[in-house]
Amino acid sequence: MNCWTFLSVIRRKMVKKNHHGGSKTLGKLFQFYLPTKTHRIYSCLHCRAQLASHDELISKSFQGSQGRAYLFNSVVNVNTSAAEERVLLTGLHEVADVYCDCCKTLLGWKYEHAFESSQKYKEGKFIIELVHMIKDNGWDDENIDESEYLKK
Amino acid sequence: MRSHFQLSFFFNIINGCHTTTTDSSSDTSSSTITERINNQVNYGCSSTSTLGVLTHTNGDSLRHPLLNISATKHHRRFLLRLIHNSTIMNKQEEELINENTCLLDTILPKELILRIFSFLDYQSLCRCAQVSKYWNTLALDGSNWQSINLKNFQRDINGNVLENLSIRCGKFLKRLNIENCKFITDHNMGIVTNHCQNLERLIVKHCDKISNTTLFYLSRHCPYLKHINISSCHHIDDQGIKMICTSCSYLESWDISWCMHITENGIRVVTESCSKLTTFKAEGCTYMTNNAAMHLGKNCSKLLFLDLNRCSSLTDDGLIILTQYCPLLETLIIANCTSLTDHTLIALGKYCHQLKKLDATLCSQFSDAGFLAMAQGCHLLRRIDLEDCTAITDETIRHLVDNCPNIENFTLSRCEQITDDGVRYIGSSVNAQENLRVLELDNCPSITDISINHLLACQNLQRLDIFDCQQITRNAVKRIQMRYPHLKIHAYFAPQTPTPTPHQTTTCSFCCSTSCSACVPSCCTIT
Repeated sequence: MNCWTFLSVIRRKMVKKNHHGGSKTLGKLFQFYLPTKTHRIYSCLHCRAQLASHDELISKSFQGSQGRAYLFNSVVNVNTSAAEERVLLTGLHEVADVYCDCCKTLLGWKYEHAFESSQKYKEGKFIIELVHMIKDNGWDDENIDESEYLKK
Repeated sequence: MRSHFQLSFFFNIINGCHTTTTDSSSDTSSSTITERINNQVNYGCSSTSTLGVLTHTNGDSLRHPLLNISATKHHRRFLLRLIHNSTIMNKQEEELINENTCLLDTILPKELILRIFSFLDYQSLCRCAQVSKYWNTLALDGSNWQSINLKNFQRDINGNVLENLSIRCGKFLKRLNIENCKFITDHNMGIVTNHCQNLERLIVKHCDKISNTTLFYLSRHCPYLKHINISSCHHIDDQGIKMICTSCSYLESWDISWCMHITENGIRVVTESCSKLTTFKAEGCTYMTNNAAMHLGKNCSKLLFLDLNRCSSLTDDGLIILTQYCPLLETLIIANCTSLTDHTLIALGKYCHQLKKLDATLCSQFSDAGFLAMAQGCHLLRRIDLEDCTAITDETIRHLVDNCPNIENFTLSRCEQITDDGVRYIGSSVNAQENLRVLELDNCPSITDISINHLLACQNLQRLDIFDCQQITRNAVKRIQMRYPHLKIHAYFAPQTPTPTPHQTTTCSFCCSTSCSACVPSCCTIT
């Protein structure tokens, strides 16, 4: 392989980021970052930790205890507590409270188990209340130096 | 790129083969030569600063690679002649090179190895530096250490690591990002700034231990600072701002988002000393008052990017003055500034003709009249986010589509009054058919499959959001997906359970409960 293919392989390898979908254990990080070119990112209002990508959003028309809530397929930088059974308007569910990993605010809950078959599609998904979220369109990404992406 | 490095060989050959004796003691001299050369060309910000400038080499890269890499026969013959006519390498050195240097080092020219290294992350770079003396000089070449981003290392970055890094980079370091490296203290930053006095961009977002002292060090050592991001550093207040603004006169980009202790005075100091300010981000700054906006406008007429998300104290008065004095504004984010009314939009249309991106999320007082005035003045608009601008109707879509031919991103989420007619304007506009990339119509309850039909005309659509629209059916989505297989459609149809009912009903796509088709479904209410 000549140097040009070699170069392009290196470039491709460096640009490809490690994708960790779903809720993530932090380990060596204070806060997990979603890939830089994400269309839109929702973050925790209180500590600005990134919570979810717009691509993982399923619905905005849910209601939580404090107003509107969004249903996400997967979120990051959160911790779940133990699951407990609750009767919601849509029936009996097993839900686990979801907390922001960085500031410990109660953000919403995760559907662990649905007892009614029509509600089964919600299992494994997360509800995050809108009062705890900020939306970031990422319009300033174009100002960022290209080399900052490559240096990880 | 190809012709570029061939040109450099050309120069090297014309200058003759200046080879240095490659014994171990001359290693330090070769690295200082590299440093000196780097210092000379350091004013340009390119990462390949050594391209075409090196005249000293280990000799290895000059002879063989030309004959291997050169593209055409004509070139090869010409270069062969040139090589034979130029100074021939010392036989001894040639032997040394053939035996002791790796094939990679002889075939790949130095500039190309440096170019490859410029893509590597720091761990790999340090590993490369341990491979051989030749690679050590290349890996530690200043051009590779101009820009450092440590935001993915976070806990690994303690004071020592950062200090050692700064010593290695020295005056080459221009851009440093230590976002979320929460172990870093003011003391560490003192050492960093002392060694890296050419720093131009600094991001210390979320570093909670950073305080005014760091800004003091910056003012002492880094006069060339252009871009600073101290968002979420809640220890920093007006004092620190004052210190840094007195000495760093080239500052053109400030991010003070979520810095709760910076007041109106601090913002005034920034604006008064940074007349060249192009980017100002003050998300969540409740102290961003009308007064502060007035200072910003009057002092910083070159403003291009302004982020005032959640600056809830702002009213029309502040924005009107801002727009009046900042005619070059290209991006304006006024999301969650709920007190703003159509007067702001009118002012935008009157003064900010360069506006390209506008985020007006939750500005629920903005109405059709305001958007007409804005659209008539801001023809260059490319991205517009009107999520939760509940007062707007199809008329706004018509105004925008008629006056702004370049719209690429159009967000109308939760704009309850939008109907299929509005989407028809979009679909029938020649400009939108060509330019529209992203359209978000989620949570618009009156949108039906007819809208999808209208959108079939938009040939360059990349993303379409239509979830939470009760009247959209799977078939319509399938139709447009088949027509545009690369279109990313954000729609969700929950698995249905059969619910046979005789009368006119709609089915909520989430809980499959039925309700009268005239009412807005409220079934998915969870308390």
